[in-house]
Amino acid sequence: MAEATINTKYRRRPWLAVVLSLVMAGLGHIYVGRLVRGLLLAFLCFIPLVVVHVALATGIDARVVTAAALVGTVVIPIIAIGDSYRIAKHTRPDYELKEYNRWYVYVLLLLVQTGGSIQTAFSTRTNYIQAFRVPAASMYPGIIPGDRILADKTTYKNAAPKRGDVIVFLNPDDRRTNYIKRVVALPGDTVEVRDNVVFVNDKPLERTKAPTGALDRIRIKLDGKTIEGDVFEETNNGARYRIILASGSDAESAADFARMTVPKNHCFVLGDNRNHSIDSRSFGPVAFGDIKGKIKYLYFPARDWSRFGRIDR
Amino acid sequence: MKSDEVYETWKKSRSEIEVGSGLTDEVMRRVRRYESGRRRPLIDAHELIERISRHRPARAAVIAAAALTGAARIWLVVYAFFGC
Repeated sequence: MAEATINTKYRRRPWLAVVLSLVMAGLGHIYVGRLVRGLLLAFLCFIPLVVVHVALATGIDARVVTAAALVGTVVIPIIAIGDSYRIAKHTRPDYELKEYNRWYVYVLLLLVQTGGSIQTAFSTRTNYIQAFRVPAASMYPGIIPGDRILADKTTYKNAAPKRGDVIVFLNPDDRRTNYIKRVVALPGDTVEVRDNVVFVNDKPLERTKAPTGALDRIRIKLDGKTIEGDVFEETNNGARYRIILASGSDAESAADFARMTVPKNHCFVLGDNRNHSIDSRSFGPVAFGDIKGKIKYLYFPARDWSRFGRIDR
Repeated sequence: MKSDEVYETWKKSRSEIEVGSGLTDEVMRRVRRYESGRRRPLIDAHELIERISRHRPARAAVIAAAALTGAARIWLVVYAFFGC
């Protein structure tokens, strides 16, 4: 009696499904004949970027953004690997090749998805959110050297900066670099610094001395010496943040600044580390057009992960 | 004459044509020559997969390479966004 033979030439190999899923989430599913699920998984990786957009627009907690990023970059690929392996294991040995089971379909999808992801990342960076690494200590104690932060580039598209905002802008003296400072006064405001006290519209900014040891977890060094000084909690237009008046040779020179009126479409900025900051006291007010965005998130603290999240405003 | 009669006549005349005795051999010879002359792909993907499937170290190497490629892709996208 003649035995019926089955063609097992195209049977789906679980290890190969894993290989393809490792290269790109979704490819393994396409290999085992699940086109729709594969395409869904391939493009689910855009979710974190969408969540970041929504988070910045609505002020969602940074932990939600981080969780979304983790889901997109770690959890989805792991699910894709496990699921494609399971499906491949249960696929009939006489699997019939589908129209899309062609090597060039896999390559094309890989190129489209990778290219799309890179393009989206660039576009997001150019128009919506940009990451910056802080090299200097001028915003100490709020932001320290080595911190990595996210700036929202949409905030000032339809609105002017507010007092107390931390902004990133083009350095007026060297437009290849960026500065991060705090907005202290707006167009039409008068600003003056007398004996380290900032006066806006002739009123001193309210401040209270922070308890001793407020900086114990984020002590940093400048020119080999630990920055020491008095820490205050300053309030400006409802924004509450910490500043430091560091003791040292620069303290005297930075203590005073003659009264000036901020011109139209400009703002006056200061560093939180008042005695170690190059700011509007040296280069003058910053044009609104030079502002790149508002600093909103500290996504990678150089030290002390309890600081992770939103920046003080 | 009706059209089906014309057709029948034509069919009969065609069926009476003598076919040389070596025709089948000649056709098969030409088919084989055509097949042997066809370019074979440098890599037979199915054969390659079959071979890798039989060797555990080869399989592990391919999976490791895939993991590296995937990680490189993710790094590329993350770098394009953070860029610092």
